[in-house]
Formats: sequence, structure tokens, C-alpha cells
Amino acid sequence: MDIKVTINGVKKVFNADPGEKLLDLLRREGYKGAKRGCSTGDCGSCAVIINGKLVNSCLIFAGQADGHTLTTIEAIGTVNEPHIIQRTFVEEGAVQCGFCTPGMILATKVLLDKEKDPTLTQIREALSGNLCRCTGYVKIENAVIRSADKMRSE
Amino acid sequence: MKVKKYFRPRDLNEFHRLSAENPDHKILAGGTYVAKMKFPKVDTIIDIQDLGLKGIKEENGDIHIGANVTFTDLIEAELSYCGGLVGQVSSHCGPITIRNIATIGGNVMAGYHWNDTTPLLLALEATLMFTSDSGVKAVPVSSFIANRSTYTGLLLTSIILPSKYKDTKPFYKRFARTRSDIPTSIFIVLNSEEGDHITVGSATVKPVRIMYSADDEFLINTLLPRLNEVKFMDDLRGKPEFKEKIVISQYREWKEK
Repeated sequence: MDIKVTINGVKKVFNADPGEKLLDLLRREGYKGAKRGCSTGDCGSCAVIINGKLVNSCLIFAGQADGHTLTTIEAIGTVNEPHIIQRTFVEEGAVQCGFCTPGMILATKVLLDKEKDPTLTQIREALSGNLCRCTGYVKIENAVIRSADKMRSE
Repeated sequence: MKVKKYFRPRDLNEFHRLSAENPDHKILAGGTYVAKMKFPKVDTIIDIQDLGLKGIKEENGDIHIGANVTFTDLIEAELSYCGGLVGQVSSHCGPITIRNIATIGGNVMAGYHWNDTTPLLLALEATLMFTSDSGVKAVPVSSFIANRSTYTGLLLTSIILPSKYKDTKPFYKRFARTRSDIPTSIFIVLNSEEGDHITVGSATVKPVRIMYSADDEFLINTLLPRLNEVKFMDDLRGKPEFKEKIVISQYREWKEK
């Protein structure tokens, strides 16, 4: 079946099996920033943005994404030109093994697109679908706060 | 997951036609339950996202909620109805990544005893609107809970919350390991002209709604016997004895208030 999407600003048509999950399709098509973690919607490693909302791509059938706008971590920044959020995560030591980081960055992006000066409660809420087994969250929360500071002053 | 066919009908006629042509089908709303099924016996998926079952509106004080409204939609709607209870309950339905896609209709129809929405809708005496190729059917949530299998295969299109609870101040307690974890016990008390009604969910096999009587021994003589009749659930979240203690604690908290 054909899946027509706008992904990272580009219109594309992918072919998917009827039972294929969006995560599998994305990774097969080279969007490997979305990671396979739990496969049950608990960890958020596979998170992508659909129509401005953060969702678990492991829980979504590829067919559900047909006709929608997707943003993956590949659109947020590059190795040579990282986004402010990505740079700040590195500076704050909010990245250790890095497996959860794409999901964390996307969750932060969705939050900061909506809230320029989020409270700690809002930050925790925004990151509630993303698990990190390394950092203990304090550095991640600090990175979100500092990212917001930097983005406001730009 | 071995799925042979995936459809996204554009209207109800197409939905009914596809349902009839593919008897071994699973209706997909948000998909957060369906996608987690390990060994699904499903040949065909019918995705209902294009059927227009979205939207929240008020009509003569009643609240009409489309079955495909997500929990995030319900939170963002900031309904003042019943002291904001619908948004409050929705905020516990999983982390934000789940709430962004999981729908109220999907949650009701999934039929797990620990669903947050079923006790909410039972407490509010909601009506479920189903459609089939033979027409529309309005079903009180209490009837749906009592005879769930009767409605298998029907399409839930919307949920109506009655105006009688519009200005009610609810008592709502939810016991869970974390804010967004599956609840061990849900305890809701709503006041109407008839008096106070207590609804207990998640702790028992089915949610239970019972009228409170100002009897000093109501807990011992009425509430607990009724809950034990329905049976406290024995599951990952605890033994029946534990759940009974949680309900007792929630009841006492309400009484103290």
C-alpha cells in the first residue's frame, strides 16, 4: 500500500505492508534517528512528530500516517549544524548512551514551539513519554530550561 | 503482526461495506492497544480516522464527544463540565505520547477492566452512540458494561455526557504507581438531585456505581458487599485484599471531606 506523507518538509510516497509499523517503515527508508526501544509505547525512543504532536512510531501503523505531516530527528539539525536544543543537551551532559536522545530532543522541540518559558512541571509533562536509563533526568531537565533561555534570547 | 488488509474508509457507508466484506476485521482508532497485540487473530484492519468522529460540542448542556477524540484533545478542550473532571481523568491516560493518539472511543471499546474512561462515563451516566448498517443505537454506559459482547462489531461514534452533571463538583481519587500509570483503583463521587453516587473502577472486574445512603455502616453493609459481589480484580497491580484496602482508604478520604 502507498503511504503519502510530507516528511521533514518533503513530500514522499512510501510502500508499506498492511501490518507494518511506522517505525519499521521509517528505519527502512533511512530515517534511523527513530530508535526501536520497547516496541510497546513505553520508552519514547521511537518518537516522531505527526501534525505537531509527539507520538510513538512503534505503536502506529504506517497506514495511519498516510496524508499527514511527519518530522523526525533528521530535520532538527545536523552533525555540523546542530539545533540549539541539541547543542545544549551536549553542553549540559544530558546525553550519555544517546539512545533516548532523539526522542528527548523532539519532545523538547514540541514543548518549546508551544511554551517559550516552560515551568518544570510542563517540562516533566512534555518528557513524560520518554525514558532515559542513564542520566537520571536532572541534566535533561536543565538542558530543556537552558535551551528555552537560549531560544528566547535569540 | 500479520495483517493482510488495511483500509481507511472515507465515510460510514464505506465503513459498513468493508466491515461486512471483511468479517475478521479489527477497528483501529488511535491504535495504541491494537499495535501492542502480540498474536492478533486479525486479518483486516479498518482505520476509522477519516470518518469524522472528532469534535467536542455542547448541545443544551449535554457534551457530545466524538469517539475519535484523543485524550490530548479532551485536555486541551478545558471543559468546565463537572468541574473539569473529563480533562482531569484524561490527563492520567498514559504519558503524553500515548494521549496524543489514544482515543476515548478506543479506550472504552478496548474493554480492559482498568480503563480510566469506563468508570468516568459510568459515574456521569453517559450514553454511547453506536452505528451499524441497520441504524443508530443509543446505549447507556451501564448497559454496555453489563453486556459488552452485545456491542462487538458495532462502531462507537460518539459519547454524550448529560447536562445534569454540568455544575457538579466531583470527588475523584485515583491510586496508581505513577501519575500516568494504569490505575489500581478509581473512586468517583458525584452529587445529583437523587443524592450522592459512588463509582469504583479498576479495582474490580467491572466498574460499579452505587447510590450512597447516609448510613454510618454504608461502607461495611453496602459498598464492600457490592464490590465483593462484582469481585475485586487479582492482577499485576495487586491482590483483591490490597485493592479493597485502597477503596476503603479512598472512601474514608471522601467521608472526611
